[in-house]
Amino acid sequence: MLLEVLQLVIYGLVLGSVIALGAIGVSLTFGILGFANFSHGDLMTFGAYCAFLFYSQLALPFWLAFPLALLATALLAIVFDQLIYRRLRSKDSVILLISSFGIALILRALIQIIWGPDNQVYASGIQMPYRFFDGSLRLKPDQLIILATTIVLMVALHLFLQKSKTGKAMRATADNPELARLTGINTEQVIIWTWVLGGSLAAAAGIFLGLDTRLHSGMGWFLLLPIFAAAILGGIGHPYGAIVGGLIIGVVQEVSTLFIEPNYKPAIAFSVMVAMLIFKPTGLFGQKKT
Amino acid sequence: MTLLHIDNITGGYGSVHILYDLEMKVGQQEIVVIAGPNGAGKSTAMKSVFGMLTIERGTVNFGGQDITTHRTEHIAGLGIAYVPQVNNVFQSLTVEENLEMGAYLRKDDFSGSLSQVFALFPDLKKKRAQLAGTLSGGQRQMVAMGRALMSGPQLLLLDEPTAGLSPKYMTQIFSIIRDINSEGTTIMMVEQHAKQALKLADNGYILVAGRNRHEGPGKELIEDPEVQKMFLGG
Amino acid sequence: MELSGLLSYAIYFGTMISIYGLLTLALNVQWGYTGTLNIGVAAFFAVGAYSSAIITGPQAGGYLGGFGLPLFAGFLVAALVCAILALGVGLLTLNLRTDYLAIATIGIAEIIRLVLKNEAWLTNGVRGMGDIPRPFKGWAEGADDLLFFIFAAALLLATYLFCEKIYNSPWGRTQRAIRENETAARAMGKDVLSFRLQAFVIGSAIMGLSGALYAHFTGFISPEAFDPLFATFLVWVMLIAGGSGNNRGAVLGAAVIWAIWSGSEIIISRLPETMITQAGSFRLLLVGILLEVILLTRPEGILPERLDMGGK
Ligand SMILES: Nc1ncnc2c1ncn2[C@@H]1O[C@H](COP(=O)(O)OP(=O)(O)OP(=O)(O)O)[C@@H](O)[C@H]1O
Ligand SMILES: [Mg+2]
Repeated sequence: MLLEVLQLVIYGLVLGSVIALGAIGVSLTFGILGFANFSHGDLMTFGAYCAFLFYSQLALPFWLAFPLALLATALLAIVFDQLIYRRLRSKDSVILLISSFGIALILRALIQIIWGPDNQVYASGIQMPYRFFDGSLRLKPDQLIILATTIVLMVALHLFLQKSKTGKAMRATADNPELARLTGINTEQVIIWTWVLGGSLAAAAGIFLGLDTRLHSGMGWFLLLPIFAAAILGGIGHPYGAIVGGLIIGVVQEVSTLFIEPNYKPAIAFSVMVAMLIFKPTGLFGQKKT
Repeated sequence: MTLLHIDNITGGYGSVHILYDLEMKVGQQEIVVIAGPNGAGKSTAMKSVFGMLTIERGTVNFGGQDITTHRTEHIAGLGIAYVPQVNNVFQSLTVEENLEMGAYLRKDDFSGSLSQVFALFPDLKKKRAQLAGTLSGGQRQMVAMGRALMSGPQLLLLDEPTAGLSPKYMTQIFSIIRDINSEGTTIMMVEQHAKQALKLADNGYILVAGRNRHEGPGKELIEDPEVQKMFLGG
Repeated sequence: MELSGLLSYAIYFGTMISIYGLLTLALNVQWGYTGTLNIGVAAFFAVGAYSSAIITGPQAGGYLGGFGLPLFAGFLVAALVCAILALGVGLLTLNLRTDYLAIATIGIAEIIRLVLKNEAWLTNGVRGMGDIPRPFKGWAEGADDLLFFIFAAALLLATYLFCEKIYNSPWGRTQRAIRENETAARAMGKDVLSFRLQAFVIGSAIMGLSGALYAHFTGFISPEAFDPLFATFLVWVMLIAGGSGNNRGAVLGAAVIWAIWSGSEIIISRLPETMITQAGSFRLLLVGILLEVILLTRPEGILPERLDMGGK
């Protein structure tokens, strides 16, 4: 029983890594640009398929395909921002939300057109999992890669946010956009950097999800709910909160399968989110504005 | 010489007007105090300087330059710093990071300013690594003022720097404001503690319902019987 | 042959516009009147369809049914179930900020999608439900499609008149006051939550009606027909294109976007063989781009709301 729970916790951390990487971007864009980005899931999907293009189709080595996919996704996010969101910035945030909903569709359609409607995998063949405790605890090599790379990415993110001037300005803007502007922070530049971060981490999340399961055009969209849940749980605009929120949602979802039908996992994320919104809408780490 | 001239502005938020024909002048090196009842438009008047309002008529001039339509981001770069009445610190940043953000636009080495701010507010030095959101109200106010000073502004706008502070803190803040001013920074501030503030002031404005009701040297305003009766509690 | 083919296509077209017109009107009550952001339209549409199908359908093996109640009861129950669902969801979430509410509604939609897929005893799961009674069958030789269309159009007209009436009532004015400035409305002593809830429930009930109409029109429903992204998205594009806040705009938007949507099918069917499988994706792309273009160039829609109150 204990090992069973432990196994689920490990799976939860793998899923949680994916959710957390997605939630960082959602939380930052929500905090800095002021709208809930409904296209973030599809940005993840795009990243996953870019890696598919570079790695599986063009046969580049994975260490090269991975950063290329991150870069491509970040660029695409910036293009959408400059082409569409920037022109809508003066409008009500709800208009931006609706527009992001449209971009989600455009992205998904493009992915289907370019890569076809069928499921894909990065590499076929079955991986032998590592076994512990006489096989009652298992971990696939891919999952180990996911966990390790997530840690590397988060350390890099941490250094960027804590040490660089742009990183600090980004946290400041996410915390209080108006104060940031009147302090003289160049918010347009911060926004570009936010998309670089959000886009590339979304791509990483998508790639990991594709690695752990398989690629299909709706993969990111269907993860949007737990991602929003994680971002809200951690407090909008708090990247560290998003990480913790993502890991919590991931673990809770997996462990919940002990008690409920696995099909209803997303309902758990939803319940956690609604409870949070009702009882402490600022999130675990957010503070009330004075 | 006039540093800031709010010249006959009418405007507000969107199409809702809050200020009507408002006229204010702040001279170089002066302390100017704005007082008035709640909702009079004092904070709104400050925001007009920072490009945060829709201004229907009139202009805002700073150092001879018309800044009425300048974007908020650019105004900080002109040498004006602003401490809003609420939400005036980055809560999830440390005290020191808040101060660094204040120096965001500076290309030079700002460690001198940092030690100056710490000299003005010794409390902050002790708490430099603490998140601003975990500080007390008075300490936050100090962080906010410190942040504004980090840019080395010519003109400092303070919106109720002593709101909610104990009398002890209040006296301390007022004396710090005087120090800042004596080192050459011009100050325009909104104050509810009008009596104490007007004592410091070279000039004062009493705002009622978005219009100038009284104006004059601080000392004269304190003496004015009508002002006394209406706003200073006799 | 040609002519009758054209005619039957026109009838089909008109019926689909009525179904979508109902959805667009419903969304307008929620978004256009009150500013309540519902991204879960597909969920209410589906619940309406399934409710009516279950209530009126014949006994079939393995899932709920066999009540065989008349059509009227099906529509009523569809609206009622949706209203109750909306009441529950609304009580839980309507206090939230608009954008949080939007996130919550995709959550609801997701859960309902899961229920439709997984609770086979209720919905027959992914296999879907067939044999949903088709009204007017055999009433007049070869004209039952026409009769159904007339019925659908009458339902649309009645709903339109109802929506217009409530829009112009003091109730509607209060809704707009809330949309424009919630704080001010609250200060005027309006019970904002209650007003929002009412609009949300009314809108959702209308979505339920639309779902019922759809179920009885096609005779077969399965979870696939209610793909959240697709069903919800199209309705949003329709409303924004037509002009949110304006009921005539809502219906017009449904007609125009449906015309473009089905027109694109004709164009895309001419594409080279290899691209045919992607036809659906091209149409999605087209509508997505259309939405962005509208938002950027004419966000108020074809028929903007005629505001009877000053300012924004
Ligand atoms: N962001 C805003 N949007 C719309 N109206 C606003 C906004 N901020 C303030 N107002 C309105 O403008 C008027 C003046 O507000 P302002 O904050 O300038 O008053 P104040 O004199 O600073 O009051 P206090 O002493 O309470 O700080 C008030 O009626 C207020 O409701
Ligand atoms: Mg004020």
